[in-house]
Amino acid sequence: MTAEVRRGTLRAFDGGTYRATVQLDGSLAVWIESVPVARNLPSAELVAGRSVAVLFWDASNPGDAVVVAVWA
Amino acid sequence: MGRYRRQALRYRNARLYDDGRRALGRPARQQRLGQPRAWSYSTSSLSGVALHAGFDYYLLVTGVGSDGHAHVWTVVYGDGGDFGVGAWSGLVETARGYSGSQVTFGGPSLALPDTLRLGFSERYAGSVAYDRPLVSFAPAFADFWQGLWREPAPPFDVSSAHGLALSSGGGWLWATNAAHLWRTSLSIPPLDVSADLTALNIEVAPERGRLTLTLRNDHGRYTSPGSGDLAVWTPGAQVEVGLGYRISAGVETVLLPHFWLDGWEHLYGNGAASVVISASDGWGLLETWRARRSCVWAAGASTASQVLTFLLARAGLSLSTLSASAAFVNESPAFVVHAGQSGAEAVRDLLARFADLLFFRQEGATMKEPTAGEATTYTYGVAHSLRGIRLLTGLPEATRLQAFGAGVMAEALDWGLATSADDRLRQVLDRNLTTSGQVQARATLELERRRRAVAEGSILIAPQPAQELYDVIALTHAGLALSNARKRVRGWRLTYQTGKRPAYDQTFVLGAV
Repeated sequence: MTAEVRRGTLRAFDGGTYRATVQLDGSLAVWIESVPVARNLPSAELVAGRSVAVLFWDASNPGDAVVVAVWA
Repeated sequence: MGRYRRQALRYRNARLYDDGRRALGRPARQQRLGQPRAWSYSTSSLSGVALHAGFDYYLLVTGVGSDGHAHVWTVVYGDGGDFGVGAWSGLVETARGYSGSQVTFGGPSLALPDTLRLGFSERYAGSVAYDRPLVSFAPAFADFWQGLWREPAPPFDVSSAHGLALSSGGGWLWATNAAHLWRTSLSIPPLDVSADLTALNIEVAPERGRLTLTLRNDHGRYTSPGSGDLAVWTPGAQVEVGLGYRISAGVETVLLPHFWLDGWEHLYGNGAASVVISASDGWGLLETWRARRSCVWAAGASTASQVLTFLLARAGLSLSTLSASAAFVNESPAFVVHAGQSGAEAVRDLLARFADLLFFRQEGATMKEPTAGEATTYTYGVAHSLRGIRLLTGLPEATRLQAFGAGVMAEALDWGLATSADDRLRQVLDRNLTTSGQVQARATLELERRRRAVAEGSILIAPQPAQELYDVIALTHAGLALSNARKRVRGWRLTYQTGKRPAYDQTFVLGAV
């Protein structure tokens, strides 16, 4: 199981569950839902349309990933 | 209902139509049309319905689901085939465009000229916008209700908001839109190159299969592939190889796994002319296919077997099963294939979690679960003599395996080697594993996989074309004190050569059973 980091665009954020919907680069039509977001990222910064970095601890397991950075 | 009939189709006295949100049907076997039987699915709006009458009524539907996303679905309206009369199958998603992605679908079409084929239009309203008709076909042996399709792709350079209407007749597949009509032949004759074959090399290994064949071209017959008699000779064309022997009863051959053309080179020099053709097996098709979106399966959504079947279908390959582990059939791990990732990589990632092995037969993939008690398929060294043998002894990568899941851990040890070898520890981390039974099974299979991966040598024989990758064979050799020693075929190479140094040999790479 290889870890990898992928860049994407934040499409939605749920402050209650602290999970996000992310459009990973290269995926025009389909997004990944319910990705956990690092709690050290302030919810005010998690604005739809911003760029995010998603760390996949296991590159093929969407349930083993976390949004670790937000910018732009 | 007339005011709702935006789109209605009549076929064999059945009526299927949508009222803007639902598909409704009246079975053919109802002599008098009664109340329409609506499906139970909740959708926001439908933009198109296509119908083909097979064993049941097959529908391709485009629209927006209750989740707000654009979809292309397949669904079956029963006519007594796989589904009862008037019954609806489940909706199976063929394509999806998230709300806000600016991707929508329309213009569905279905036809059965040879195998089931579909078409629809994908519209992207972002920058740079397009209206792109896409077509696809179902791999051999796939049933419509399974929703298995090769990756939909543009058939040629055309923009059409309403897709292409597909139909067949007169040996042609026809495609139409409002302004144009296209056709392509459904029966391009195969090209037999047997008489000009001067060399053939095939190498089949786990997760890789390659073929090169050399044809004499001093007569110039193969100078212009893709045209005239060579119309079928194009990149991606299927190559079928039958190998065997000329015996007293005639010629007996076995059809090998199919290959698909990667390319070729023309050679001229030293008074000779030839063409060398290169091709790859199903792994090559999987390597070529790239995901064009994130393909996500949540935990519990689909079994590993179903995910594999989907991935193979996207590359145009079918799947059959000789045997399968309970885990492969029953477990439903969370799994994702990222955009840009190859099908080969995705299949490798998926199968890494299971003991099951994949190899190719003709145009489809086959699965088997390797077991210690698997029957021997053939014996070498007695009636079928050995031309050469090489035996290797080595240690596996791991003699101790630890599997870590979500809050659980287990390990497996090879006690037979633990006393003579170093403590060769390897660890596997997989958060899909949540029970002690799962981590124990994973640790055991990972240790077993590494034991089987140890190279144990090879044999050189007169070709046995019926022998397949991962078969169990027996070896007898007096000089090496082998008597029906069981080995597993971990790969094979075959060489055929005419001319001054003729050859017809096969080498099997061996591993532990």
